[in-house]
Amino acid sequence: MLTVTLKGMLARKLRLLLSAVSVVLGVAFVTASFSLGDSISGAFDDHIANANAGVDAVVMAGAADGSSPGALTPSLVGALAEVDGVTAVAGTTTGFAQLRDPGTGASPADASGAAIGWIEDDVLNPLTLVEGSAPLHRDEVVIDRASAESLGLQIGDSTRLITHAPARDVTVVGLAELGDGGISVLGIEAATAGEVWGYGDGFSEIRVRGEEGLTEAQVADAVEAALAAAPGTTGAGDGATDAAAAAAVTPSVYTGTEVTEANVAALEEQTGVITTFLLVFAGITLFVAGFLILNTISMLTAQRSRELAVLRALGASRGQLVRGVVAEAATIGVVGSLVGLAAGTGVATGLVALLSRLGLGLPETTVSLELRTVLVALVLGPVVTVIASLLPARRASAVQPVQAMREAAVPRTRRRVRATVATVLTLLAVTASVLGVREVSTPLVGAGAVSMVLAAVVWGPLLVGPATRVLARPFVRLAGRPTRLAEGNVIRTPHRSAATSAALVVGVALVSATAVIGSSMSGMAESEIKGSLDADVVVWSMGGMPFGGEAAGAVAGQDGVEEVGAVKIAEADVAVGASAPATEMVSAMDPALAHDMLHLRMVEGSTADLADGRVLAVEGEAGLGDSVSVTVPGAAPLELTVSGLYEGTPALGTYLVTAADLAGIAPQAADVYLLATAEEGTTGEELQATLDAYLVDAFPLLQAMTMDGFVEANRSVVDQAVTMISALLGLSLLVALLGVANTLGLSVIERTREIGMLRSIGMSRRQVRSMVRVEAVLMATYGALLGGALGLVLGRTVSAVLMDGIDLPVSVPAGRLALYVGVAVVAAVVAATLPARRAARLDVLDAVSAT
Amino acid sequence: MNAPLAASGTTTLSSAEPDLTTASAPAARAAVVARGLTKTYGSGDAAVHALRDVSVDIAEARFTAVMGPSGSGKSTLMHVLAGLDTADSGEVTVGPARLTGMKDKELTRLRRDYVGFIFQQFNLVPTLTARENLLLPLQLAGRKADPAWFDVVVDAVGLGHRLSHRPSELSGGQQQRVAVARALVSRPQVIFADEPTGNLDSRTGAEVLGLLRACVDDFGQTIVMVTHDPMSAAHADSVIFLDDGQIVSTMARPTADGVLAVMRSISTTHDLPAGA
Repeated sequence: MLTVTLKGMLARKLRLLLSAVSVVLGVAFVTASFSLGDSISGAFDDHIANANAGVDAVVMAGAADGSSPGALTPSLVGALAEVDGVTAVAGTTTGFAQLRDPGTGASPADASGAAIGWIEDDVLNPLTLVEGSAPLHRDEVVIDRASAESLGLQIGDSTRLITHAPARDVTVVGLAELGDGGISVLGIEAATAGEVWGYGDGFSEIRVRGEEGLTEAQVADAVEAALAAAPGTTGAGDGATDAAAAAAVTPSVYTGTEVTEANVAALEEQTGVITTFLLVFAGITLFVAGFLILNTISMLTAQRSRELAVLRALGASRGQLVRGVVAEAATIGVVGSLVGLAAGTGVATGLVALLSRLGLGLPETTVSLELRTVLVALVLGPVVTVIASLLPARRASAVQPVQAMREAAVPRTRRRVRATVATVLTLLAVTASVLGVREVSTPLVGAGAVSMVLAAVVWGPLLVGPATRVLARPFVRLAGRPTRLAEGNVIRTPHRSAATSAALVVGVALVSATAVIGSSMSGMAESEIKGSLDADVVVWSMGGMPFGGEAAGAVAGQDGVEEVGAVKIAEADVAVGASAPATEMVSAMDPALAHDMLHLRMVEGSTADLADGRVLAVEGEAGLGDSVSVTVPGAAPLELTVSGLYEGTPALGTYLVTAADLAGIAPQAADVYLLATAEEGTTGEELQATLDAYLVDAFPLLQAMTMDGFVEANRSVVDQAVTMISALLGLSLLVALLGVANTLGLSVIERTREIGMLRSIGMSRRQVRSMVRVEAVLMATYGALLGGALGLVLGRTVSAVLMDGIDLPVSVPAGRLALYVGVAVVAAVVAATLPARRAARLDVLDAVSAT
Repeated sequence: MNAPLAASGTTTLSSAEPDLTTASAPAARAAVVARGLTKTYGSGDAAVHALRDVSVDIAEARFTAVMGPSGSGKSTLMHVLAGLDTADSGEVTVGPARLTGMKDKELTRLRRDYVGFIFQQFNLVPTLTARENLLLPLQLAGRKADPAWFDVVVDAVGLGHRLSHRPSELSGGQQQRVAVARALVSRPQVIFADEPTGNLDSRTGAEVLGLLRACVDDFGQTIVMVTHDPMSAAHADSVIFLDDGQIVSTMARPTADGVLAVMRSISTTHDLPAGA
């Protein structure tokens, strides 16, 4: 039986290839996702380890990943140097910094950049000087080779250093590398680092090296003991910012290995999120590919039903037929997965190379292909293929041996069973969705979404006939007689047409849902931001990066500014009453300014009720009068009483406290945006122009925007996300369109004789071509319209949950949806090109006599 | 409605009248026995009675032809005898195996052990060579070919030099010879041939019929052949005539003219041209 299967497959190489393409795409996507993530994190892991080599212990104010900064004093450094077993101690400060491109004068496009204060001890310094001299003066920096190249900087060049503090002129004095190099990082003069990041003459970390022969743990223990014996050693640095001075920070001691591990873990968490995100889309692509495989194998077995019947008559058992079809599928799966694995690795290599070229600081360009990736790819592809083949295999094996002697058997349809299942699924989808939206329950809406998609798939074969008849009408005028034939071709194999369209339905539904959600979110951003903020100009850093407190004062001093309110947002663990704490975004503002500038939709109380010791909460999170405990790492809990409830808004976090209260527990909490009002006689546009002109040099990371501009900027973040997700979903659409091409190609082969007959009675090549094209258009239009409608409903229910009870009309991006449907239809016509040409080129005589 | 000829044959055949089915050797045993077969397609006014209470014995080591006009039930009878189809009522026994109530698994085993087929369309697997096609039934059953018997069969059908060819490289006659060899190779109790010459010209058809005749004479193979061609039927040892789901006549040592005469008389009762 295996011989029959394999020889049969070899004889149909083209069909094998077509069915394998969808597996290839899905598996390539999975492989590329894994491989990219592994390459990025793998590359950084090594360098982090190298950078920390020789460091026995590190003292930090907060967690080992440096997420909660706090100042460590110079006296602590001195005290640690006296500890037995310690040979070298150095305090340093790390933070955000970028160099401006001296040629264009522009800041780097991405808001990332790391810098560290220079340490003289070679071992303790994570940076290694490779050329030039160390940055020992205020206006000197060292830079890594890759960044220097991408910015066009050489030793001796001058440019501007951009941090959250005012920009300053600096000169590149040397080239340095972190570990083995490759990670983009700046080294700046030690004292300047403290100033720039608000630590005064204190430090964010102290790096310690112990005597030869001592383990890391022994050194760390000694340091810890010394810390315990020297109380009050933190937060008292002369000239530190008020906030830093107010910090009651407990320093923590880690071994060098622990710091490396924590850094690696933090990095892996980030790349893990990206990998997971990509894998979700890879999974969707594979799911869609599954439909294709199911359809292709169904068609291939249907075409061979006589051969299968002969095998049955010759003594093959049903099991042998099932195993034959499944073996065929498994072969397609294995071949497709191998090719997909290679293609995916290729794509990842290309992406890594691209990222390196773009100067995004990837240390090396070798792509890691881990055993896990290979296993997942080689298991997933064949498993999806085999599962997709089970149904067609079962159906194929049901062929009666007697059909070897009769004409093609009439397929058995069980319309009633199908209609029942479809109806049940639809009712389920409606119930779950309606309840889910009303109760704002994610699981219910999720269940509703899944059953909605399933219902659409099950309805397919019943729906495709009537739908096609309606859709074909406009084409009758356009293409004439061939349209009627095309319509008939789509309708006479409803299962096949429906399965072909199903892949398209899923793909279009997902992009449409994304568009609806995106449009709703950006609509929400607009009305919520405009509704809840009452200011003329908003100052913020692009991408929403937090920034230092000095900007607020500086902006307030500009011409035409009446008032400036700084909004801080910090992550904190919040416990309501005795309940378990949850991580929430806590925003903070000066209460008087909050009353003037925030127009919150208050459910209970008013913005005037905000005061020290009090908190406003989003409705539903807490009740009026509840006691709330806010905790950030390294600080005592802040106990507050709820004095008002407001409707959630993207402009603020879940809780609003006074700026003073937040500073008490998180002195380093930075401003996220500033709200500025204009004086009488100054318009918002004028003020924005004034502030922008000032900020471009003084605070180069900040931008002033009018309220409209701010709304637009928020929208563009959403739009970018929508565009990216749509692009990723595009791959599943591509697979779906391959399916259309595949189905048409196979059905042209199947109908060779019939096409020959049509040609012999006078159908022109042109008419044959348009017949096949119209078939593609009919299936694509049906799939795209059903998918679009499904996406609309899905988008609405999901938006309702995402907006979490915010009462807002869901907006429908009609233009975008129409575009998707249009693109799908046009792409289907393109997909039909080859099958149409093949059909048109058939030799009439050969075709008529084909068996 | 009743045919004049059918008047003599209103009582269906039974083993009590062995001379009707066992032409040259009255003592021959039956390879296939059917009793009281009835099969109806559809219901009510649209009901088609494909078989009405048909009983028949197929003699061992004999060549039996089944004839009748289109729709007479001859194909249905063969399908039921071969276990490809089931009758609404009645019993079929092939060799020692009683088909009635058999499950799919048992029917599969029956086809492997007791039954061979020759089709009108040849039905060779196009991707396999002649040799592979020939061995296919044995492979499906997970058995090894008996090399001596294999050689005998290949020799008999005269295809020794064509074994490595694919069906597309063989003529229709050659393809049907491969099909005959494929049916012979597992030494079935009975071979059912469905219009085996229907797709061949008369000369090639005669060759294939001669081959079938030789299988019966030389190897003692039992063959049941459905045909509507009197010339083909003349190669058989006996002919069973069906009309309207009933056996209306039988003929031992048939001649083409004799068969044609019977067919004509059946046709006139339906007012249809012969062999339609």
